[in-house]
Amino acid sequence: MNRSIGLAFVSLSLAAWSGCSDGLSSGSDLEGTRVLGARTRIEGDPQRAWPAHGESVEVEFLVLGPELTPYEWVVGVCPRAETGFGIDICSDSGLFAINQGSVSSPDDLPPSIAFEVPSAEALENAETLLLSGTICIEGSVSLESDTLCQGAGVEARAFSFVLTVWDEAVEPANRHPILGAITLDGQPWIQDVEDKSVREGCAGSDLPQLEASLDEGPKTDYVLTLADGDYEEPNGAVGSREPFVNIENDMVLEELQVSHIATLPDIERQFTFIDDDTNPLEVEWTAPRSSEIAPEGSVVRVVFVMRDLRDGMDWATRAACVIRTP
Amino acid sequence: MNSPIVRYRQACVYLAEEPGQHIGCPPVTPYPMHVTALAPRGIRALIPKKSLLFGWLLWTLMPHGSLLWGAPPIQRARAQETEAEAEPVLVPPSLVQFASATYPEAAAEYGLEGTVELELTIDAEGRVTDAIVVTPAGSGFDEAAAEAARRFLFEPATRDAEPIPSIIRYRYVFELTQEPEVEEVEDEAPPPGLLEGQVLDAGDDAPIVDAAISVQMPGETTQTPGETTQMVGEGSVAVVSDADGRFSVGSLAPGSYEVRIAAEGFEAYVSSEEVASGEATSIVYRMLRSDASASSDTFSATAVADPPPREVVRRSIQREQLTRIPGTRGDALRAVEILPGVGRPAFGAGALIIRGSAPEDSTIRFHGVEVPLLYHFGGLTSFYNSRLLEQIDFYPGNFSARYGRKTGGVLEVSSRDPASDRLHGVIETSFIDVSLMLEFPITDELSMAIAARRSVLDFFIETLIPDDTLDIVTAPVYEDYQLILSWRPTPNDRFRFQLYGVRDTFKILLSDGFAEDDPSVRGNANLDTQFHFGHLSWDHTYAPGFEQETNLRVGPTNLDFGLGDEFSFQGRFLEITLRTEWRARLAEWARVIVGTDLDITPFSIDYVGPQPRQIEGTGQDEPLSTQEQVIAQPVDQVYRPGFYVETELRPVEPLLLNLGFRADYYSEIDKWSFDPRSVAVYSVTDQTRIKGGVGLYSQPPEFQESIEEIGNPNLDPFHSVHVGLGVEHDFTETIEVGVEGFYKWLWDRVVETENGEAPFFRNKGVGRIYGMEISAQVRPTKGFFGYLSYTLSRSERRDAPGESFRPFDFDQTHIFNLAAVYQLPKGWEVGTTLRLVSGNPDTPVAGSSYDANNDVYLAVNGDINSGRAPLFHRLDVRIEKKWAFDLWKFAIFLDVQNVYNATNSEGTIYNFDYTESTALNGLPIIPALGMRGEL
Repeated sequence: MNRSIGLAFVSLSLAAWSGCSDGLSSGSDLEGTRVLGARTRIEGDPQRAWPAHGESVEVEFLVLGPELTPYEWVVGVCPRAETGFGIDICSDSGLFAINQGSVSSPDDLPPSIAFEVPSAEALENAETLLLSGTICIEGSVSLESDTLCQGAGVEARAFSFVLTVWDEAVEPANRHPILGAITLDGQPWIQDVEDKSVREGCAGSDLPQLEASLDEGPKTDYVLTLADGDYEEPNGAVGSREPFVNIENDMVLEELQVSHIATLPDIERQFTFIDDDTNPLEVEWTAPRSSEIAPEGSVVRVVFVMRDLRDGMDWATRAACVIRTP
Repeated sequence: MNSPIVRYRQACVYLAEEPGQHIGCPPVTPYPMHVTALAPRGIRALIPKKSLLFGWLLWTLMPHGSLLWGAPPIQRARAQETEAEAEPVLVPPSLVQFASATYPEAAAEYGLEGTVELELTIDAEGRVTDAIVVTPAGSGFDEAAAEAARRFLFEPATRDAEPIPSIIRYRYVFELTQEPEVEEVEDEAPPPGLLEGQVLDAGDDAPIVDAAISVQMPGETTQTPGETTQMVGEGSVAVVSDADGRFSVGSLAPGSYEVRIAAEGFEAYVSSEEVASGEATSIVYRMLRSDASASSDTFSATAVADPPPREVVRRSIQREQLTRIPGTRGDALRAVEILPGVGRPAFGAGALIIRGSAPEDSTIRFHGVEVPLLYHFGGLTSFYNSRLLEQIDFYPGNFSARYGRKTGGVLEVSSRDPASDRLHGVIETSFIDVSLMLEFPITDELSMAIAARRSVLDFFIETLIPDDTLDIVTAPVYEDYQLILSWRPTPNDRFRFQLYGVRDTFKILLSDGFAEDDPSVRGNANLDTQFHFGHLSWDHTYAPGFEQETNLRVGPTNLDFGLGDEFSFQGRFLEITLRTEWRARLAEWARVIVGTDLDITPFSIDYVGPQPRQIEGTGQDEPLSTQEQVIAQPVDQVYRPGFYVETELRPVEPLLLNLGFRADYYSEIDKWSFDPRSVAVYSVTDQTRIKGGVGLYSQPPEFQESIEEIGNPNLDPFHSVHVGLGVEHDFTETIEVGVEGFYKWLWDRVVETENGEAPFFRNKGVGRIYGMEISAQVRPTKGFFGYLSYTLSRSERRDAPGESFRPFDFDQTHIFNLAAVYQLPKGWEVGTTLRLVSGNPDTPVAGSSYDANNDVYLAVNGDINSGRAPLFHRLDVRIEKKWAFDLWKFAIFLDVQNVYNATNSEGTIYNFDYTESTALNGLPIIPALGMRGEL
């Protein structure tokens, strides 16, 4: 282990030194349709993240792209097998619920599945459920075929979500974190577009109007901030960060992982953590060059997904209009 | 019966470009000679400017403005350098082909002896064009000597490396000696051995003539009449080196001998050598010049003895060569990378990959005791000051039963005794690190060396790493130190106490989003690795042929590594190792070695992180954030006693059989292993040897594999059988070529369970490794040495029954290394190393799956290691220039890795969702400029 650790550290250092990801697309740029998150909604207690045995729950997946691209989807749920590494898999008992659908217009519902959490016996004492699915972009789902996604040029994207089954005797239930205020260059930012397929022609609309960067010289940065929300009944929480007992048996507060992804580049990074030192988070978005912007303005959408890393999640999208510089 | 033996000796040498320029025979003058009067004026005119430059460099780069300890003012050094720099280097001719004279019959009949002094005129091609008798001896000796001398062939004299004609004086000594009488040797007495060697100038490998070699014996010895030896006291024999610097002392009883060498113009040297019964121990001594005109390394006066081969393959490179290999920055332990069978880790990160074995399967031994880490920061610099090393032995397979608990190969490192003549010191600095070493005698029997090194990377690192990605809390710093105390209270005892240690520290603060594919890679990342050992050695000779060697080493090893909240490892190990070995000559044809080594390691580990996986063959790395944390906090004690016996049998003269057996116990898994091993060496001729071996090798699981919380304490040790067959041939005294074939079968390899569930690991893996190695070595001669090696091999693993074999993570089909170093006049030395190595295997990505819990993607592995990176190629160059002054020497060197800035792929990196990829490029051109001062 000694040498492995040393080598791992060296590799980490070298990766940092060499700037190894240059030239590859960034996860903070939403260049295609993809899954960005999953959120549970428990019947009668929508803020709770963990369902108990016998409760009805719906899990909705956040799927977005720079524009609306038709896709079909399928998602199933099963008891999760205990694994030490690798992609999660179902236990031997297999799927107990499955759902599928398609999205081709703004009114279509995103992938989701509703089910009742089976008893512990039915789950063979599995402590977690595995929801796994696939979206077939510009293609169709075929459950009968070995190849799940069918169609010429189809792009298959697999996804999964592991959901803890709450045992009240073991620990308090986890609740979803809450997104707080979002600002754009210090101003409250609440606007979004209704029609997610609209990418241009936003100049003069109600969206915040952001000037693009000049075609020469330094680019223009805009500062986005996001605060942690707040529970009305804190119960020991700070903001929406709840206390819990970690693996080392220490009582600690959650750290909220926020992903911020934009339909127009560039956001300086994909992840920011809200913790004792950071709230609200602050991240810069650099506007594209003016020549890259449509004459009537280009819509930029920014997706914020907040995770407490204990299956709790919240998200929001905001939009602004980037206009050419005079 | 008297039989005439002709002996010759070169009495004195001096140079002249024209006959008659010399008068008489001057005292023996060490060369290269500096003839000030011949220095071109133009060169002289440049020297003051250079001196100022180097003086300024010294003054500004050294913390206190001076490189030296008690050194003369720098102005004096400049003056000395001015003189030395202006002189051309004249190198006298050296005899390459000797011709024997016919002993005059009449003189032999009447028992006459004589010495004839000749003046030989040698042309620019090394031929003797004239031989004039200067001091006649009569009785037919003069004619015989002159006739023979005209048949000599020389390496011509040179001036600034250009061959020139020359005149030398040569003295032929005709001696009558008594032919050795063959005596009946009692059955119980082991046959005597032979100690022979060559004394060379360390600066240019020229032979040193008339060096006085004194061999101090621990007990009685027999002396063969007729050799040029002289009893100088009880238990001592003295000889002088001949024109080739060679000497020989025969009929020595087996045992340890103290060899003292003295030569005019050179520093005295003391060494301890082993003489085995019925065998010749051949040694090359490289002597340090004691005068200011020399240009050699102060610490190259190291004796390296190559005992008779016992292993199928044992490769030893002399230390003074190792520190001169380009691309290593003078680090001796890095030079093993050019040896056949040694793989190349990614980024040259320091992992030792021997014949397709995992780095964890090979061992690095320091005086027989394993050291935890070979390199600082995984590859920058080795843990020990190269200038304190005596020898490095490398056993890529079929190694002796003296080494246990490993199935790969062995790198054995040993330090030398500190200098016993006077104070020596070396300070060296480069952009990487700065080191200081001092050695000195305390009493006649006690000497000491101390050394320390610290990296200076922290002064540069902040400019290399962008501020927006890393916040460096503690810049990377590595340090090491060594202390050696050597005490010889009696000729039969040597005690040596060593204190050595290492510390590497590095702490950075990773910003959020540092790694786009893994949000967990953030926060504090720290590495703190250190070990500190006290090491006591005792070598004792009970009687000729019966010795004991004991090593006791005790010290802590602490390993701390953390990465945010996701990974933390803290290990505290107190390593106690006791190793004792007895070696005894039982009969003329039999020698036995019996030994025991005991490792006791109380330890405590505090680990929080993902479930550890098997050592290799796991495909693409998985983001930390997706892996469940496990925790392990064992506090325990591991003890591993080992016992071994090895016999060296010589049933017939050309055949040497080495039969060994080893037993090891591993307390952590409560299992034993028993390993028989055998090696045979057959000397077809004096120049050609055929070697073969087969043996069993066993190794316990890694710590993390057998710890109960995260591993399986019911594992078995895993095993490997080594089969090797090779032939070595010495084409000349300086050129050796070898070819070896090898095959290894591995079983009971530790592999992970299918989904990483308890018991986490099992002994279900097997492996096979096979290949061949070709090596050629040109030993130092005429200022040149070189290595060439090529390895063709295949290393495969199978992780479960029924699966197919796959390539090992570091399977490298072709490994080609070429290294050459050449000394030029005026203290210049240039060298180059070329490496061509097959790219490492790579696991292609078949797809990916999005993990909505953590917002990361997991790769879907294709067939493990079914891809491969392109061929790796790199050229390194090293240039060094030395200056010598009255009391000290100075060198400046430039070691450039990857001279032509080749873009080598070390693997493949992917974007966040594995839909795009690009090559992960290796290290670019890295010039390392450094300087060294020697006292």
